[in-house]
Amino acid sequence: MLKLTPKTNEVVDKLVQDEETLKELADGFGSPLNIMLPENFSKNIQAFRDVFDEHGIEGKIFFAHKANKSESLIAQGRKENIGIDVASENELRNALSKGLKGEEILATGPKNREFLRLAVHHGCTLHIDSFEELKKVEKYSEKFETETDVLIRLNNFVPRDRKAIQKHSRFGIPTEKKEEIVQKLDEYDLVNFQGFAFHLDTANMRKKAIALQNIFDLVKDFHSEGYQTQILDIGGGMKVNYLESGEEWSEYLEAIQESVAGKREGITWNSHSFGLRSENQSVKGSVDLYSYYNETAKDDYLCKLLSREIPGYERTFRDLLRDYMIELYIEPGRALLDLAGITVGKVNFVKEDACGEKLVGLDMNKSNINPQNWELMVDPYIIHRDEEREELEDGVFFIGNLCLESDFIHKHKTFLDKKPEEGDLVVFVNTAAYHMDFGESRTIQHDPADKIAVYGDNNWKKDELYTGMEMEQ
Amino acid sequence: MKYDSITEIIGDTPLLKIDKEVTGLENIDVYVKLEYHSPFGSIKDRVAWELIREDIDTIKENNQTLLESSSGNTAKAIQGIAGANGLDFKTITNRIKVEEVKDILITMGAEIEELPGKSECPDPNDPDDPLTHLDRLMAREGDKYFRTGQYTNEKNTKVHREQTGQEILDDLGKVDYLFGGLGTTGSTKGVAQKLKEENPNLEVTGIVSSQDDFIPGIRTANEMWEVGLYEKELYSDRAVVDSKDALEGMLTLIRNCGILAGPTTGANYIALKRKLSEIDQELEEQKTAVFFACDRFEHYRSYIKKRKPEIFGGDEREGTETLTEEELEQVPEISVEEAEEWIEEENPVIVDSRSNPAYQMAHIPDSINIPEEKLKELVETGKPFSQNQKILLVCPGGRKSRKFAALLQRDNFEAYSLKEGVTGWRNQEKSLESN
Repeated sequence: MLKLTPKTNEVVDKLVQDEETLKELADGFGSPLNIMLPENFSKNIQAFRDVFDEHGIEGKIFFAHKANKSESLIAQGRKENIGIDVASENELRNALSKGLKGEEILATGPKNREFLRLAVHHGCTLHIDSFEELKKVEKYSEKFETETDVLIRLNNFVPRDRKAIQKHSRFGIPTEKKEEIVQKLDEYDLVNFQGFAFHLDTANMRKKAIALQNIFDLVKDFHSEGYQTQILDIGGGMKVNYLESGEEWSEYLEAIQESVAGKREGITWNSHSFGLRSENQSVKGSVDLYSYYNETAKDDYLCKLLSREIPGYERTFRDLLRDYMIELYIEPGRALLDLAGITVGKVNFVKEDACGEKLVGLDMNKSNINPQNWELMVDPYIIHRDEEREELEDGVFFIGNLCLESDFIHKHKTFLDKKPEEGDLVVFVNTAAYHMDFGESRTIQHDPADKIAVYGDNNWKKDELYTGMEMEQ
Repeated sequence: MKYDSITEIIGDTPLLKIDKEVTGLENIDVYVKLEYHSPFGSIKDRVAWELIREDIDTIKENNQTLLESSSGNTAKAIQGIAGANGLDFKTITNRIKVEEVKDILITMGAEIEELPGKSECPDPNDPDDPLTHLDRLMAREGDKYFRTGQYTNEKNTKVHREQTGQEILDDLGKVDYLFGGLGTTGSTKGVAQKLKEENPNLEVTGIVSSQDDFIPGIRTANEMWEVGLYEKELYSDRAVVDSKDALEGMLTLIRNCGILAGPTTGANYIALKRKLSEIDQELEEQKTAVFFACDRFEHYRSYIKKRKPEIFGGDEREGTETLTEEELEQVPEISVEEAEEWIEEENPVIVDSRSNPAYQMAHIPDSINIPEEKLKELVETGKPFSQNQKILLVCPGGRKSRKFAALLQRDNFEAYSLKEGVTGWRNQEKSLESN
């Protein structure tokens, strides 16, 4: 029997084991219900701060707002004095309305004029994505009679000693345009160069070390042109571990691969292959699933990256930051949200398909949990209304409440001990990062899920009413 | 022995019996096939030559570049053969994780192309695996290249069946247990096929590395299905070994048997030891087991250092680890606030221990730069400064300078530490110089 046992902690366990509270909340708010756990958000923040201290570096944390729209987490972040990374005008407005100051806000991502204008007006630090954007920032700074701090977002990092096939990025300015960057900075009086930013679409440390090598080369080049690097923003991508066991994860992945190779049946719905394909008995392509088991994640990942020797410098990343007196910015989304949210869905019905596969219909749909078909490969907990449930041999598929053939919560089979029935609760732990409201839609007029914040002794509040001061009283 | 061509030396490797004192197995004779006794140093030499041998004349005629996806030994062997035949070789890979291996390939003249890392945002249309990149390159400019295809070419299995397996069979006859690391799976598969002809009850154990870990040349269970040659049914069981255990096994072989084999061999040996120790006592007749020594350990030094720093005497040798709390507390610290005046009065030698480029960009006026590593050496080995002069040590934040000052104090130097370091100096907007 294949299992994907979730990794939890005491805050999550306390809630999941409190079945009465969960039933009350689910009945009171309807399905699905998103439960935020700000205490875990704080724990994650503290873990990163400990890494900064341990390595003796100056660092700032900016929460990547896009990963979750929750207001309680913004309130908690404010209480913890972290900054925020906003990627749209409305995210920026939201941060401002929660009392964050411009200097605590990083404006990143693709920007329209309204977003740029508001960010410049409030004195946010901006990631510069293109020369066109830099020019607009100069213009708005002139208009508001202000100066604007900028970080140049870079892409296309090339190792010095070998050829590498580049995966192109839509974000940032290529490193080889350094002369043009300097020229523009010379030309514009009102943009203050603060340093560089990058975010690689991979957690591969070797690739990050190469990016850092390129950047430290630029630090020297820019110095000789009169521009001092004060800040280096390495973005996020520090991984989260969702699962208790690496072996379970490995076994499940292999089952999928065997199924794609045609040597096993009934693991995925209609032989869904998660991006893999079979050719000459081998399995090709890359699986389009997040790696849900990670031995090194979050603060451990950062710790390892800081201890990594940067090629060509014979020093660790940490030592270089210290030597060059550069402050480190990080923008974790996923890593700050580890175990900071739970999604509860209610069972609408259970049925069998033509082959006898059991389908558990939930009163929620894929948009409530799987943005862009990124399937959450973590087993949920089931809270039965009645202990007298039928034992189950084979697994089940969780399906959603849309009238769409493709509306699956899980296209992979989940193996449960007992058969769920109408009214039972299916509790997905660790959904706060991206698996909650990132791609949520109102299709066929289903309401978006309600959010509440749970804290202390399983006390709760509407998400937007949580202030972060509840535990102080 | 005289040879005309380097490729003639490939194969016919020794089979060495491991002392029972080492294996601790009473009823099982353990033999290791020393594949590193081959000109390019590994079990892959046979495969590389077999994949090219029959076509070598045409390849030369068309002046094709050899193309393969290899993270190490195959690339090394193909480059060796290519070099001896006046050909070029290019490897496309995302798996060269050991620095020395990369250095060796570059030294030998191979062209290496690296692939991007695995995407954090899963994308079903991302052709992220090296073999797909090779396919595309072949489709675009196929006539320029000769693709050896170790992952799918049956010659990989064939050469091990007909040569490696045959050699073992000739030496031992019946073999009961075979242990092989699973990379392309060609060697284990080929040898198993041959040995099964003599003993259909042969038990084959395939060794994979544990998920999220890395042992050179061995895949994790989840990577096995990417390999076209893989046949799960062939193996009676699969052993998962992590890199720590693999290195333990490697050290046993190196230190107790004189077998200077690398981590993969260590993994094979550990898997063998684990499985056979359990059944040894219950056996009623003498049995025979074989495993492979795939390559030598020398070019995995950085890998070994990273995972087993303790055998090199700890990961940091500063001399500072001998300092006591008291010694550290006694170090006189100069705070940034009083520093300028103090410097004016005392005229100390100011030593900045940061790396040189950082020093060049910004440093305290009149300070000199002795980077940490150099300073460490000077402090440990001799008397770097004159005894009657005050020394102010400066580092980024005041932690390391305090330690160095304490060490110098021990030798009766008048050493001081800048409390908040050069960062504190800058933060209080004191003047900095640059070169």
